[in-house]
Amino acid sequence: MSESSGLPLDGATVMATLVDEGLALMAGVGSAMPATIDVYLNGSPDAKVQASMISWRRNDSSADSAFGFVALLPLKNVSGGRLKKVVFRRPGHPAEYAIESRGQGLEAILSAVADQSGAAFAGVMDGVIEALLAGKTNKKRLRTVAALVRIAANSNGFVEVLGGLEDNELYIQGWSSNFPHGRTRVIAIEDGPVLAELTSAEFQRDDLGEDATGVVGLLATERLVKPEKLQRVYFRGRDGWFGIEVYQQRVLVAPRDVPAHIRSVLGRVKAPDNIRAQMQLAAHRFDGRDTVSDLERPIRVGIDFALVIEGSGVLVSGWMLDPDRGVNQINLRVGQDSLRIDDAWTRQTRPDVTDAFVNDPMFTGMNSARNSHGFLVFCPLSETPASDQAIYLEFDITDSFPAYCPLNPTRASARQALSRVLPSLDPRSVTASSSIERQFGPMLQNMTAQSPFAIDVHDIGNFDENAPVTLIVGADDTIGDMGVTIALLGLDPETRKLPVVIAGPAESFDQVGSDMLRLAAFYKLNVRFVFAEGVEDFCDALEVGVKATKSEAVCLMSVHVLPREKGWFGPLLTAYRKRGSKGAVCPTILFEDDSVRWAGTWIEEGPEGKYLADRFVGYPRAVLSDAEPCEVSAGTVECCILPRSAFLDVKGFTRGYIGPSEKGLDIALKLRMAGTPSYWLPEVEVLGSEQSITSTPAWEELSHRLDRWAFDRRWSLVVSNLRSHNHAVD
Amino acid sequence: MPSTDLRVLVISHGHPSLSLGGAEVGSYNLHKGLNLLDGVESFYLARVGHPVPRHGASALMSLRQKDNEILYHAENYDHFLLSNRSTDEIDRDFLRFVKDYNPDVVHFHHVLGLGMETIYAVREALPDAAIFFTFHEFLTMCHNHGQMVKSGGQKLCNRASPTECNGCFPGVSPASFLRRERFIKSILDLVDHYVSPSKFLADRFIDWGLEADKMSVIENGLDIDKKAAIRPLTKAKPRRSRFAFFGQLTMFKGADVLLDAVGRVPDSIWGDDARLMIFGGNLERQPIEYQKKVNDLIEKAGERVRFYGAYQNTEMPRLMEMADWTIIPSTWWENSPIVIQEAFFHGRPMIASNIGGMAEKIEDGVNGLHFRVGSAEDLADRLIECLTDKTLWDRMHDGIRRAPTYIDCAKQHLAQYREVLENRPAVAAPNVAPQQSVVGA
Repeated sequence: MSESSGLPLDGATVMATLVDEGLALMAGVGSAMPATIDVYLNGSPDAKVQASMISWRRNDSSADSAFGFVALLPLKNVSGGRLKKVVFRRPGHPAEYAIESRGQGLEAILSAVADQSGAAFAGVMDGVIEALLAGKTNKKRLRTVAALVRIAANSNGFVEVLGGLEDNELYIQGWSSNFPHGRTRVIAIEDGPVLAELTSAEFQRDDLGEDATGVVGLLATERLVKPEKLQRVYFRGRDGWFGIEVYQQRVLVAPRDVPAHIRSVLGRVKAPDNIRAQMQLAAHRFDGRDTVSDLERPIRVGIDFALVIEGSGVLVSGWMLDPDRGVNQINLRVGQDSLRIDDAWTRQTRPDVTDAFVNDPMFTGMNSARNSHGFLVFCPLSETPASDQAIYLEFDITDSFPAYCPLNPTRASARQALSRVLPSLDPRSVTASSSIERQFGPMLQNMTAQSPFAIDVHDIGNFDENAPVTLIVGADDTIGDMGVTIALLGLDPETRKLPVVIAGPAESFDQVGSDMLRLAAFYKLNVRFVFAEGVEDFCDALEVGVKATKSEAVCLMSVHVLPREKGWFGPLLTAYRKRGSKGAVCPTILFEDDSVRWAGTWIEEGPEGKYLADRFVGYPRAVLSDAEPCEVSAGTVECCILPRSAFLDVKGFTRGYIGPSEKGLDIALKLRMAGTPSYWLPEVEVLGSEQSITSTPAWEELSHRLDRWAFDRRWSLVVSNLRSHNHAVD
Repeated sequence: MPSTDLRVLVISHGHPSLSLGGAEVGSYNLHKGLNLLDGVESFYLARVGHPVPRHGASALMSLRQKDNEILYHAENYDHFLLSNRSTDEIDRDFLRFVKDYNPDVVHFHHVLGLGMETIYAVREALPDAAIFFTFHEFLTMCHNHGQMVKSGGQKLCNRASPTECNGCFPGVSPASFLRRERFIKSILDLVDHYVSPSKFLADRFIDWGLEADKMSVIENGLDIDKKAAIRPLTKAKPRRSRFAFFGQLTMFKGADVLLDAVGRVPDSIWGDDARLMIFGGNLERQPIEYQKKVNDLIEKAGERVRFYGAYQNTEMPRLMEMADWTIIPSTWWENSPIVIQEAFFHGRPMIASNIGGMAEKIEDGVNGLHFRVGSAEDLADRLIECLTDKTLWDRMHDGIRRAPTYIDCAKQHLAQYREVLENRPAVAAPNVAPQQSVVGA
């Protein structure tokens, strides 16, 4: 301790220091005062606070100074920002104390108090610590408390075995002669102090002397404490504060082994029922095993798959049998997060599960006509769990300890997850609709996936990123088809001189990258190839591509679109320039059979209000023969020319769609709302064929419904207020 | 040696000394014919591939062919897009030769193995040269071996489109066929003039979208010295009763239809003098079901059929001497099969399927007879006519017109080359500076 100037004994002055910004500690002498007392800071009635008083009797002193005291005062409304005096409103007339002008440190004050209190010091410290812990603690105050405890506490016993449980709990086991039993507030010391609640009990061992007993405890800490970093635990014993040290040669039990370890010692634990019950719960925590299968009652679960959707949550598909309704609730557990799933899941018909168990003696009571055992549930998570984070289902079961089912999830993008799930759903079923509403829709909405980013860039020819206009071709996993696009761009005099960005998914680069580079060189194109992470469709690729150039204007083109004839680009650019280089100009897109695929997206009005619709889809091309260029409600990003800044200003494509269709519509509306209208140029025609011949109709229909659901959530209100451009074609 | 003002490079997907197909023979005959004409010289470039080993340093080689012939080794080929993936070798070797020879006309007869890219490469390297392309079948529009026959059967296809092609190849999306079509058409667009040996084929390509103004029909010319003698009739059986089939025994050539028809002719009409002679091989390369079908039919036909196996082209006149009639029962369209010209050159009337190039080249009731394609019954009726109408053969024989020779054909080509070169806006006159070429023909 630093040198102390001594406790003021005049009954009119106190030593004082700040514990933290909101709390002051003072020490002095005076007449008897209650444990809590109103105090006026600087004597001001507006700055009344309630102080905690810890007092000790001073023998051989006058009545005016019969007690020494330490006061803890919350600070508020201190006039002038500096505390000069305090007035204690004790019974009788108030006691006014001036604050010693010379600032004293906490240790100096405690040293002065120790000098004056003598044998009572331990009790005073106890009181101060209790008072400090009584209120809402903060980091600084806790550090102060820890400092006080370190002064006050004696060493008592060792923690010899310890291990971490989930929920910020530590299991400790060792010996002590003064260890509390039951529930106690303690201070654990890791790198710094951590407040904790200790549930402890005596643990019978034969290797200790008479005074010491074995102890076990569950330490519920305010924040995660790593077992290997725990140094000691300060606790209030029967007669003061003690510290139980973590033994240097302690045994660290692996987290998965802690429940089993607790089970092995439970028989030797002496504790009241409530404490024993808590220890038993800890002994039946998740330890990585599937314990549902071990239940000797008709409850079983099976997991088809569990997927961690990056930036979104966890999608679980499986089945559960519980004919006797023994399960109260099921939670998905991910670290500290616990999400109930059985009130949110979508049930699915699983006759195969019924068939598998109908002859099982344990399930004789099962109704074999009831097949809704399947479930599908999406659990949103605020953060993507680490790859080594245990993820499991916790079954709360009547009259039983919880049972667990580990999930072992794999990581997937939302699109990958849905492409796995959707094909198995019957689009006409209630399950499909329910899944969209309750699982997949929220999954997409919750998605905060990172925008795709370039990881590999190669320039071929003389790519000029500052050219006035750049053609951006975006590819998805069908980037192998890009070869023909490159050839067609090279064969058209209008496009062969243009700077071209070709963007696609990084994972394709190994397979097709060299071919693409070879073809671009062969056709003498000036191309910047950008291969990016996180590209799931051509829209993602376009977004990466737009960022790979500095041109004022960009012509976006999906890899699925091909020029119908050479000479398509010039008229498109001319139309764009004619409109002041401000809008998005799109050509007609025809199917491979020359029927219309896209000829403008327009506001239509039906019984349920306004909606966006593509006109003339599937009609023969001839239907457009008299069409004139016009503004449309929304353009298409499959092929359009627009200002690059307009694209960037709306932050590109919105995440949260599976397919490019609504994603494209979404950005067209974003552009429109930001002042970039879309135009349709009928006379320029490009070709765009259906890509997929392998996807099942269910996948296509459901993914479209899902995207439409997500789109409507975002845009239905806006669409209902949009001005129609129908006069342009009527 | 006549003075030369026009230099032609004839490009074929194969050299006839290595692969005796119609396109190889047709292109080579053109090359030979051109070199016999005044004012023109021709160089012949043919593709070779496996199993011919190549040089490491160059894809070009000679294989001890003639001085004005060169071979180009190409293997890395995409059969769907007709695309040569070794574009670096096109740049390095193919173009090196093309630029060194510096022709006024580059005449492609096929791109199989060479790739559509070679057309683009020539266009880039020689912007003033005229590019010609001769269609020998439908490969550029039909992925089913260019036959325009529906896959998995014998049904004829009347039109290629991405959707219909997907019907033949359900594993290939319409989008892929669209890409194929756009790619091939875009490259064909670089060609200055198309040549088809039949009007039928030309019309199909025009219908497919090629410019009619750029299309000419020029027959492949024959290079045969000796005409086969007419088979002398015996006094005992003075009938024109010997039928011959020349060709590969592939599924599309219709040998099964012919064998079936022969078996249907009554014994009383067939007699013991009539005979079907089959000259051709490669049955063993056909699907096992087809092999079985043909073998069963041969067995059933018994003594009526004689199977002579594969033959060399040089044997043709001698073999033809054994026959009175030749039959071409193909179940695909055919274009301008050389066997028709050969039969006519040797004065043999033909019996042919009533479709495509066969129906065009053989006039029903004038120099041959038509039967309904694929119909063994109808063909049997034609055989019966031949065996029972004593004057039919003479009438048909008299109706045969002279088949054009390869020199006639080269002359027609040369005229077309000159016309195209004269009308090319970028070219004022044909190249009259042969010294610009470092490769002499």
